[in-house]
Amino acid sequence: MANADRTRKLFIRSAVVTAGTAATLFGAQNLALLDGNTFQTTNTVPSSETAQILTLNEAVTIEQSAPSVTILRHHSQPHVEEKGIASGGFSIMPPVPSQVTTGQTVIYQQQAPMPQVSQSSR
Amino acid sequence: MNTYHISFRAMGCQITIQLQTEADATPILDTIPDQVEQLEAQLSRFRLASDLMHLNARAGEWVAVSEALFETIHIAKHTARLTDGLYNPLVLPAMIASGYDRSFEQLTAPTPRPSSPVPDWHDIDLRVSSHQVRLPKGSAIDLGGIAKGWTANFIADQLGQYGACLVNFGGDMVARGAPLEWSGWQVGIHDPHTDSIIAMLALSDTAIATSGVDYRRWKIATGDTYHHIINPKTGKPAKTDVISATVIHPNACYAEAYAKAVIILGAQDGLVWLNDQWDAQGLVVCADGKILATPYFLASSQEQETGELS
Repeated sequence: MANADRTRKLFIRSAVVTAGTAATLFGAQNLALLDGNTFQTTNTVPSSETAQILTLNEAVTIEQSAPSVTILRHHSQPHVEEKGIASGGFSIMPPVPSQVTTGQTVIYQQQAPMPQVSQSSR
Repeated sequence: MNTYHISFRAMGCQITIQLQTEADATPILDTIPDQVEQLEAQLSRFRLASDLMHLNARAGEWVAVSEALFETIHIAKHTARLTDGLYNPLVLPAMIASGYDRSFEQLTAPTPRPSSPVPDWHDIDLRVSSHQVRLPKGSAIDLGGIAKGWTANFIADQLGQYGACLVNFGGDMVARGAPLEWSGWQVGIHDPHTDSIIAMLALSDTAIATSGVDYRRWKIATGDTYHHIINPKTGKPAKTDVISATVIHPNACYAEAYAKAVIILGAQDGLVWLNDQWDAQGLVVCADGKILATPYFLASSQEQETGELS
């Protein structure tokens, strides 16, 4: 009788330990999956909303070089364009001002946003 | 919705601002030149009466400075740390020794003097509560592009309250929002070799800066050509295979400083370093005509090819 009790208690303890171990493993796996998901969401490439290339000069060739460097053009290719005109027939000449204030400062309204050029400061 | 445009010259460059708003922007934009003038009067090394030159004249002492100067020096020190000293605001004596001793428009044919090592940026001390700064004795600060970047950020933050804007300080730009029916403000990257546009970008809520040795360069008495980008490790104009570097970063100050760091490091090492900065991407034009970029430039252009852009 005493032996049967002891056996039953032992069986119940074993079952509790096994269930606990299984629950721990299951929880750990879930946490790992959760971490993986979080990692994926926080390590995506920056949003393309901040910087997008609209057009690429036709003279530019694109190639993959070292893992973190991309070659856009191998060497200087003569691609001299009419000054003030960007590739794709895109004009960067300013529009005619419709409203001009005094002095060298000029304020006016324009039809549409005017493209700008990023270059060494001048 | 109207798009307003203002253009004027200050801080040694042409400033162009576009603001798209339903409000009458003329009185808003009218105040901008004065604001820039006031900031230039505090931050310029070419004005003997500026807060900056006052601070430089008292290197070694604690000096209370304006909020704008304190903030820019704080950013400059932080940038020096991020670039491991490749950007160092204490290059001014070295820059003057190399011949860049006056505003670029007034520069003739200077004779460079031997330069001493650039002091350690760690030795710039700041007291946040009282806006005090102490420079290492015998040193002097040139904020350079950081002053311009900070001013451009400041103006863009103000104008952004009225609508989308693009603030362009001589080629370094801050974009806030995007113009109506556009995915961003259109910005071309200049190719100094061909004087053409390498690529057109659409920028919103970010900044872009291009630094280069193609401009602000001068011939010295020996016939050699010097430029304004000093390598703090040598105290002399950087020897580099890069003609110009363009960096996109959310903050114009960092974009400007990172572009200089890339030039000093050289094309390959510079872009590898830049790629390790999680919030920046860049493109360089090399002396031999090569154009290199961090992978995100390529990723962006591929999005364009697959028609994902609006």
